[in-house]
Amino acid sequence: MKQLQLLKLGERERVLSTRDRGRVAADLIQEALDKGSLVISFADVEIATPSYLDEIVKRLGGLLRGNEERVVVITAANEEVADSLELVLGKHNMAIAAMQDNQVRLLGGSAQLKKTLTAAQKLGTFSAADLAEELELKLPNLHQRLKDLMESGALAREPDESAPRGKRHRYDAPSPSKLKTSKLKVLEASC
Amino acid sequence: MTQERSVQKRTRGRRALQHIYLPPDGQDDPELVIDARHAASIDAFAGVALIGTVEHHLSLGGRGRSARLLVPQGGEVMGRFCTMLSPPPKRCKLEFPQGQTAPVRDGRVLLPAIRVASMDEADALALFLRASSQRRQLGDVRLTGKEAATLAEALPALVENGLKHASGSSCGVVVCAAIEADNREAQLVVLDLDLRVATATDPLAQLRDAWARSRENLGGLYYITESATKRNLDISLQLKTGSAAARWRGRFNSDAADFTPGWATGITIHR
Repeated sequence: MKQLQLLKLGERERVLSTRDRGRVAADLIQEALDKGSLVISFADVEIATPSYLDEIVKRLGGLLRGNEERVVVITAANEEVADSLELVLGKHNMAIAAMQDNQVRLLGGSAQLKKTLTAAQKLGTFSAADLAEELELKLPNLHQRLKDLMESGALAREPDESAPRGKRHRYDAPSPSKLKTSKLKVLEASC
Repeated sequence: MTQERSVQKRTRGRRALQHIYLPPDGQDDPELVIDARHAASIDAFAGVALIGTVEHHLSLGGRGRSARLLVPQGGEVMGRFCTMLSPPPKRCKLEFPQGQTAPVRDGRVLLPAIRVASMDEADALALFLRASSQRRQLGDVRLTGKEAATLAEALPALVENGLKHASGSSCGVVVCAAIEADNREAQLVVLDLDLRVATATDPLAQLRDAWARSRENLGGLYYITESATKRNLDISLQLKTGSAAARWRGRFNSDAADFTPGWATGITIHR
């Protein structure tokens, strides 16, 4: 996994509220995503209003449409913040990867998608055929799920140069161990 | 010269908003006395109504403006009243019956009635509310993490609405939260005294429109109800402005009601 950036939303505020502040945070997220993958930390955040989260989720939805290369993971959200985040994601038909209890899970999204991410994490780096085999699925049935996971920022892929023929990709799923060993570039959270 | 108002014996729920007093033009005296000596019960609606009235009075021009609140004469309601209205705004004081000293504080008052001037203050109060509602001393009426979070998230959301839409409010935005004195229900009430909607031609239509817009645009009110539902909490939402009132508890009902100035939103967690 390429170098990740870390944005700590709770660095200055323990309460994240208002749409205006949510938009400022969304701007920071957008700026960071232009440069690569991102971990959004809610450490020290005690309360996050759905309106604030709505601004972030909406922006992420737009930024990740058609995404292939960037991973986005939420970390350190307390139970209530995770609840609110899941609610807001549901309203926008979105999902996002979140590290909880030392596991990367999908917040929002269908049970099928969650199961696919779990299997992808087990494999770590894989091809679509590997994952199809793991899930005992036909390859065409897997493609929409892979697309949805990439548009959630839960998977990234890059062309597989070693593939003998045709266009193939290698997929990369974030896992706790990868996140922990990645060198994180800490961003300034000025919201 | 003094204006005197009395608080009824039972001062609870939406009806407590009838205690909001905005004197008619030309009948405004510098001292306001609110006599609550005969009050037997008080809740968060009453808290915002009384502080809203005092803040309105003190905000009017002229020198020597002051307010006195005559506290109930004894018993638990005295402690509850004093906790809910302390500290009073500057130039307002609580007046105890002769020989009485400050009573024991009522821990069920989670957040005393207070004017909120900014979102920074709202955020600080949200943290306070989250902590105060989960204090061990509350025993079996203590709020769960999910209940506390629901109120704590609602507070900044409702204050944000107030600061944004009620810039003409003479009392600013006033909040109060309490667990009921005689049951386990927890209540958060937010009030402003901007009169634009309350005195509009059809406040009921405006209230219904505000509700519809909140659902359409995923606004603060909508998310309060959705969060509570997701957390399996039984909550109701009460809205009151001018001669219109509405309630949501799983479904939305609205109707004409007695006139009250401003806009009040109450959230009750039924448990």
